[in-house]
Amino acid sequence: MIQAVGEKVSVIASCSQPSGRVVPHRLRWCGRTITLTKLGLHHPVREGRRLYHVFSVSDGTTDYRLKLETETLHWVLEEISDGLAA
Amino acid sequence: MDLPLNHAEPLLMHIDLNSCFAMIEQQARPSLRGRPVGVTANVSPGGCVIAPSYEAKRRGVKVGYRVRDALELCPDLVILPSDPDKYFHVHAQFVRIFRDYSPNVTPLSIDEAVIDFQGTPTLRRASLVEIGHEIKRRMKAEIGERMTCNIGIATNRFLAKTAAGLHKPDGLDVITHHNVRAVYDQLDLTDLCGINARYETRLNS
Repeated sequence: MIQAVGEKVSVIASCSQPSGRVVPHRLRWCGRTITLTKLGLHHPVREGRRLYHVFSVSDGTTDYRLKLETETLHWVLEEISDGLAA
Repeated sequence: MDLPLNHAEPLLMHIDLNSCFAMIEQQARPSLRGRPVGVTANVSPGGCVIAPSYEAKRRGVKVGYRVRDALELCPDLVILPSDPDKYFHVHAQFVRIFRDYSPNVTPLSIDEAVIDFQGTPTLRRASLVEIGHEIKRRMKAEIGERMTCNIGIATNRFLAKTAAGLHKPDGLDVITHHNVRAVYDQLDLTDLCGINARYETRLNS
């Protein structure tokens, strides 16, 4: 089931060179620290003049959709899902 | 009618990502892997499933089914809203990979493209079958490990598309003058691109 969240969160991510690949590793949300074990997909999204980077990540049981707003550098947890039907 | 077969070297490669949107969602969301997934533009009972995953197809869900009908057939089907930005990004990624092999890449839709290798230096270092396997490996390495595609190699676009449909998912087939008759023998009329049930009836009448 997919649950919309839409909250700003703290994220620890790494950026490796020369590929420039950014990978979120930890996420702090609702007082919990979640270790992210898998980056499923990263894709950019443009909304008007704003550029966002969307990271679809997983902790092994739950999937998280994180959005990095490039203008403010805020991370937003957009949704979580457990892979089960609604 | 006894027409001569085309004996030219097959230099066209058709690449088709089947269940493309569902596969991309399963790539993005690891918890969905191995589960039946249906992507729809409208998450409501009357919405239309535009891309069922292979797991959903095996349970009888087809493109165009209403969400309510698909859930009747497959109650654990995970219905997802379509995410065009994600799909366009993956499309751009795989077209970028294809252009490393030839400047003549023609995207046919968001999940299909044809590469024309006529006159390209790529052919000096490897055969088209080897290049096909390399493209499959690169798609997994550079886009995601769930990304699979069907590849067909032939002398023209029609046969290349037909070849791409022979062994789904994740197939790689070549049609040449050596095997074209054998391939046609094993296909139904409706397996050919552009021929559906009504056209089949007209041709058989």
